[in-house]
Amino acid sequence: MKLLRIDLTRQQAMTEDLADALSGGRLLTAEILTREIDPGCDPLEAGNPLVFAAGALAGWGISDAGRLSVGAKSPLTGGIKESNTGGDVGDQLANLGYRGAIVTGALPADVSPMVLVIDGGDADPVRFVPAPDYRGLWLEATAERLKADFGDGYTYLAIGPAGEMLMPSAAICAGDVHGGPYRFAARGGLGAVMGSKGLKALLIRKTKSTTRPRTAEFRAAVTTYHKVLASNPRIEVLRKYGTASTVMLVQSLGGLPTHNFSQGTFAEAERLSGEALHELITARGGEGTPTESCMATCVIQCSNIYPDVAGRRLVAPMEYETLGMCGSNLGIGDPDAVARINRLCNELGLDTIEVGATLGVAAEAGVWAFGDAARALALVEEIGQGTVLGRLLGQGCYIAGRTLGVRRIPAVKRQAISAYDPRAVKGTGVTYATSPMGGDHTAGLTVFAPVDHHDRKGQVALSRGTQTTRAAYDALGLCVFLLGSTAARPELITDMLAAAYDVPVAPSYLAEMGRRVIDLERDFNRRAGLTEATDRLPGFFTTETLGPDGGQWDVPDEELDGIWAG
Amino acid sequence: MPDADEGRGGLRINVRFYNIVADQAGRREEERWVPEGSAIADLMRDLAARYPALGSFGGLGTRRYASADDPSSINPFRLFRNGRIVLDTGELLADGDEIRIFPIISGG
Repeated sequence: MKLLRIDLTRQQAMTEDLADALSGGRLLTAEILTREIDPGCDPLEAGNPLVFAAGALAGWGISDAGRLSVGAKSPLTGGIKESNTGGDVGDQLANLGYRGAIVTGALPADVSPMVLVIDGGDADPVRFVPAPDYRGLWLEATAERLKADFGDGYTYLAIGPAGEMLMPSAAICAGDVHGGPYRFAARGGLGAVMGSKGLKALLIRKTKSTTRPRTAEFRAAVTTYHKVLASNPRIEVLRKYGTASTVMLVQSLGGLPTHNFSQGTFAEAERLSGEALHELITARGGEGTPTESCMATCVIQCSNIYPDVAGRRLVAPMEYETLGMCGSNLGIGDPDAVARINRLCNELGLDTIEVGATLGVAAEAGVWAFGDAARALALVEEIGQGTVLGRLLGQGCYIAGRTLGVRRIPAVKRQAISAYDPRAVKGTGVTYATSPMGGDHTAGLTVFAPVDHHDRKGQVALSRGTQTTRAAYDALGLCVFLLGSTAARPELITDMLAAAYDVPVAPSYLAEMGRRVIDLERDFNRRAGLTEATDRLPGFFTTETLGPDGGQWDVPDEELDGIWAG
Repeated sequence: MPDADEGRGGLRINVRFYNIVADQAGRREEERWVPEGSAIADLMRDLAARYPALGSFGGLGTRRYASADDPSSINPFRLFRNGRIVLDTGELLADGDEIRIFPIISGG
């Protein structure tokens, strides 16, 4: 496997050997960023690279092993960022022979925006194609234009207008298995980093893998892994009800963000639930489906296509986080209204979690009224138009909240937290506070553990464990929804690695790998100026109570500071 | 377990089923009567008898939770009693309790 280095300033590309055959995903992004850049750099200047990295099992037809990590210094948090996405890109990058692509420098303004075409090969692996007509295109139009200009033989990464306008809420879109612009590396403003480089899109030539191991040992390890996945009853829940199955669970915990985290239960939660969505999607039929893959070989198929009343695709997918942050958090109980907001965010290339949190603080400030779905949609349109208010909202909930004079700002390290109120899901609150990623549930979600989530006891250890595990899965390009099957059996993963690379890999390797990722990231953040003072939740979670039980954030700061000791 | 159904006395419990648990039970909600002194585990045994399909989960929530590191002890359901997660199905029920039954899920 190779690394592809793309120098935008010189418009040159070269390949180099990968030093560690198992390094990929979030480990590779952490290694490159900590080794090669000044953590004090301006994230929107040429000194901040974009690192795209697949995992060590990508491209070989292994279920859920094709996620793509995107890494850079975040313009939102000011710290290190890894955001990962499903879709086709991770597998196709690996098929082309690359574990990662490191994009450095920036294109001169007079040739921006450009589309990079990665065809691979030894001579001229990358073409630099001026694309002035792509400026300002929404993402569906971008995908259509890429197909018209370059043909069917590529998958892609692209940004929408939000990234072009350098908004810290901007995401990077990845083409899905059908070629649609519906998968996102959403968190942390990496779309703005891509926009700052003058890049509109990267195309990756689709091809078949030539490196898939052929040993009996590898085949046996993969077969065992797939058998375990297929027999896990948790998959049936996700396949039929998707991540929306989480809505009523979190409502039952009293932790569903409602009206900018001022309440933990939403009167209309049932309308946004997995059950309601399944019924609606099935009844409408047409292009809608409650069961959809985001990666080619995924057996879990947790995703969906949400149709309008005529059965036409309205948005794909609609996930728990958007139902929470753009639904209950905004007082919007109509799933069609949430779907329209979701779709517009997708078209503009925006993180729905950050947008939901931002609209929440804007409602609290009186810019609009909770529950007024039409007005919420109009505000997202303003973000896309780049009006002054739109640009303010595009900065994310922390800047928007401070500018508007709001005290209840649900952000850690200036990144919006997600749809789990930390007063009701305390382990996830610990993750929000202590993850190098900032307010990020994907870094260490605890809500499915069999513990009392309202009791602070044991939550730091729980968060530490899940953060470490998830960092390893991110490093291997593995979907964390595998954990229901594989968490208790790490050998299912390490046996495949050992067989593929003909090296001994103990089950304990995953924990070591995950810890290494986190240690590298914490080192970067420290050098970037993020101190322990940023490992805290906003004060209102401590001073304001939630629900009839009067839930408050009460995990002591000393415990948070000691999470990584030893 | 003696049947305290049909309002002949005992505790009135509102049971709510979610996603594939509701699929297996064939309903989303039910009011059950259980004898005074019943524990959550008793209610779950009662439900297992009424809805044999729920047995496909491998024991209808009658096991107690042990360590999250010991998968063999993990209850196949997430149970909530009046908004608090149930960690011990030996917990006694009270009249008017709401019990919510989820399958173990991941994702989000």
